Amino acid sequence: MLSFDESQTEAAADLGDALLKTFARELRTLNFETIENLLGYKLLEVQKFGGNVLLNHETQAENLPDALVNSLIKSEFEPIRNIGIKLFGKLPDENLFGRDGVIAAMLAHELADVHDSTRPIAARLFAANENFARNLTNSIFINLLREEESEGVHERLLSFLKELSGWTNFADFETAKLLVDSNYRAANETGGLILQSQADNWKDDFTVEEIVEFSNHEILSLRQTSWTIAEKTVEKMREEASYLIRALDSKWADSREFWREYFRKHFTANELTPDILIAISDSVKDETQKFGRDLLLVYFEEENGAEYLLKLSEHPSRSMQFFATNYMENYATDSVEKFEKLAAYFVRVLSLVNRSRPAKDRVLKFMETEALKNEKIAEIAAGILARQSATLAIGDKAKMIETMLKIRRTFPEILLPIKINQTEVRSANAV
Amino acid sequence: MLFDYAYKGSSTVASSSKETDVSFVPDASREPTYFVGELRQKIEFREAISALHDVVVSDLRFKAKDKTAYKEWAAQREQIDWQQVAAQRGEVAAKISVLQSELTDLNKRRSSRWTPFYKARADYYKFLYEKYRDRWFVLDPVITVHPDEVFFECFSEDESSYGRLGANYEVFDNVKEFECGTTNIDYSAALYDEFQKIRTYKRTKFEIDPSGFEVATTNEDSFKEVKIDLPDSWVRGFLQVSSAMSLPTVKFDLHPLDVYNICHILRRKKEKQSPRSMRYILKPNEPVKIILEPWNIEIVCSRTRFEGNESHDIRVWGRRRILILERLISVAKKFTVHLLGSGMPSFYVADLGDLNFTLGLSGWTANDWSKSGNFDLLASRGHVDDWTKENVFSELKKNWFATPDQLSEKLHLDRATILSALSAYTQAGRAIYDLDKGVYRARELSREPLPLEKLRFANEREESAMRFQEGNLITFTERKHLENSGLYLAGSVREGENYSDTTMTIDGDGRLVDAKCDCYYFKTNQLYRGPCEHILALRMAEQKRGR
Repeated sequence: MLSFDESQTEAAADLGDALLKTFARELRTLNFETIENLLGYKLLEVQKFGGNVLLNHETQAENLPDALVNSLIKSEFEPIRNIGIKLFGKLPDENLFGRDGVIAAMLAHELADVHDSTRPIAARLFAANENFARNLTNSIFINLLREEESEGVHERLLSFLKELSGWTNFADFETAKLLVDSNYRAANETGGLILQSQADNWKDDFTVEEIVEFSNHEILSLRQTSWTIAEKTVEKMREEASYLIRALDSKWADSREFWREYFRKHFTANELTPDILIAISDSVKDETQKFGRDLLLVYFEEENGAEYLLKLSEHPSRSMQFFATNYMENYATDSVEKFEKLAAYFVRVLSLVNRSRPAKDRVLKFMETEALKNEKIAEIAAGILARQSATLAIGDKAKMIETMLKIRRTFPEILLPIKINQTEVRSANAV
Repeated sequence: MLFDYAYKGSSTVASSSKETDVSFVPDASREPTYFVGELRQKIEFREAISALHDVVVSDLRFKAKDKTAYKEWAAQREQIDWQQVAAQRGEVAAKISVLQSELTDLNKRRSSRWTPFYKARADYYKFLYEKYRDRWFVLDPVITVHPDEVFFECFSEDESSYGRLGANYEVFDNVKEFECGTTNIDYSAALYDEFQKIRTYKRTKFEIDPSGFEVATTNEDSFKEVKIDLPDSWVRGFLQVSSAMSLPTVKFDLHPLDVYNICHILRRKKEKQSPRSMRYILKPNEPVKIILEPWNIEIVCSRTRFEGNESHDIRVWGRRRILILERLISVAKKFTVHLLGSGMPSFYVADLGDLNFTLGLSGWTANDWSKSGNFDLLASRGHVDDWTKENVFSELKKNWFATPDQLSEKLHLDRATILSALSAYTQAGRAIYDLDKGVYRARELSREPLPLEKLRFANEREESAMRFQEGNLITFTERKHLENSGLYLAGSVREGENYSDTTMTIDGDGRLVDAKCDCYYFKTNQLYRGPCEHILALRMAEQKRGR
């Protein structure tokens, strides 16, 4: 076999198979020198034959020279590496338990096949010895915190961890935090999985800020962690409601969904004060605004109506500005002070270009009704109408002129940019 | 052109039910510049900073419609039509209808199977867009702290709109500490959403975080290094628009509702044909008139009068960018418009009380070759020696801002020299003219001085065209107005012994739509690589003639 050249690969493979089948027993005692020659030969098929001879050799794996096994594992050919790792796996468990570092390094190898062949060995040892399991898991954490040598290493390590049971028990709180804060996604996910399974033990170690941060995280396991912990620390969440409302604005739909449900389930009128309700509605996300509006309707209290109106009126979104108009007629009538505070809101609604028709109509109607009741209010309204009546929008302009006319008739002293022309009267016999 | 920044962390706006903390992280590698105060005029600030954000993300460049879906559908229809024709022939009709229903069924099943995939793919694209949204922005805004005001500047993605938000110290309460200078701030789209939560009833802290400078030397690992490769054309656009501010302008005021009315028409109508300009008709002591083409809708701004002595008829393009001002209508007291001339940059300064917002618009939205060679805003204006220039600039830097008269008094130099020196610094991005207060301000756009010579021309052809023009080597042989309000020009350009005969057509919107030249460059490339130097020279000469 040692005389084959590149053109005879097929023959080498066939001969190798035939020899293995026919002389299996004889080959078990083949001397090491020959085996080393076979393994060192240029043709892959010959090397493979050498490797298989070694696999079936009568010499126990632990008695093989380390250098030989290592050189197999480091081979450039995948089948040879596989044989090397198989030989390595045949070492007695007691021997392997002490080699967690080597095994972790093989799992974190840049070549997928090295990882794959090592995986069953590592899994077997993990289940057999707790000390080994602890050390191996921690070595893997360290690898996850480092930059991966080639793409996919982190993913492979993570998928290996996921196959094991009880590995999360070997991580301490600091390691989990390091993993979560890492720049690598697989590390984040690992951290999330640890935190989730240890939520009962560590639930009090998290601040609300961290919970909110987790529920904003792009890694699902971390979002899930935030949900798990929140469910276990309802009391604390209630106390920090004013901060927790940020979670409702999470970037992720699943998080937002969870928190809305959470607020509905665990929060009562005690926590959902007007401040909090308004802060929820202050969101820029439509669905959160809607949630805020729904809560407002549920927890509405008459005495806070005016506060809702004044605060919601500052919202920049059109839907909330329209929502605020609902409160106008009930909580801002007959009050110069409130009308004055709402003046900026009226201007804001009326200055929206080509949109918010219903809100504009309501605002104009409200302004007219109030202005005609009180001279001070009429003065403020006149100022707004004077500014806005320069619009080209014909409907608005007509309505504003009409209101100004009515104001002029009720309170003739108020300054307005209108001049009433007397209708020309023609005599009946004019030609 | 590569810009490097080092930020200590990211800018944040943290809001709860009681307060909002706006904290901008400045570039720690520049001269320390910081500011800490509490915002007093909150709603005005909110609207103005939102408008500034609209400038940053504004991109009105023409984007061709994606017609793939339609074409697929049309192809399907065609197939069906043919099948219908066949069906009418009778005998195959029954067969076809069976096959047709089978096909419909298959199509239905296929689409129901693919639905989850399409949905997942759409979600994924959305995720990518959200996650990397900030890569859509070009340059982080520049922030400057001066003894009288703090101002933000930015330039849009389509290289055509410039925004500047200035805030007097009256806008703030409890100004604790500040250090004058200019720096870049870390900016992300998420900040916009948080700005929307600013309310009058919440305490609002505003800071340009000083902590980054304290530790700048001790702990360099905690800094976020940002490298931005800016297109030269973007930097050139920024410099062009900001240096145009220091040129003499035609100035008049508009009532906020006049801007409302312009937006109102632009929102309701869509221009489908040329010309798409906005004409300002200005007559002394008469209301300003605005005509929106092609519909020729006239807006008479009856609440303001034009106070200049001469009549003007100025056309500006890219008017949809004015929609950026929409959010300011409710908070503005008035808008002051500064015009440089037809097809030249225009400026809208919104007076928001103690805040002011300047929107600068380049002559056209698209910064492509069809408009190139129109004007050279970066040409030097008057010659001043370097020593005097530096003297003027260091005097300006002493107080950070000054009027040309103040400088001329202090340095005993005549006003024209001061202006030339200042315009050179404005063109280099190291100073800026504040239209609102009428003063020059020291503002270094970048840490390292910009290579102005490299930036002045977009390419070598523009440079040679300028040389032809300066040497008066261009002769017009024909110019005639076309029916569609366009212009046809013919002329020749002398280059040593040779003459290049050139013709071109400019449309009603001032775009170069067709051109010919008998030079080698044109014969090789036609217009595929942009016009040759002779076409550009002819265009420049025409522009100069027009002025």
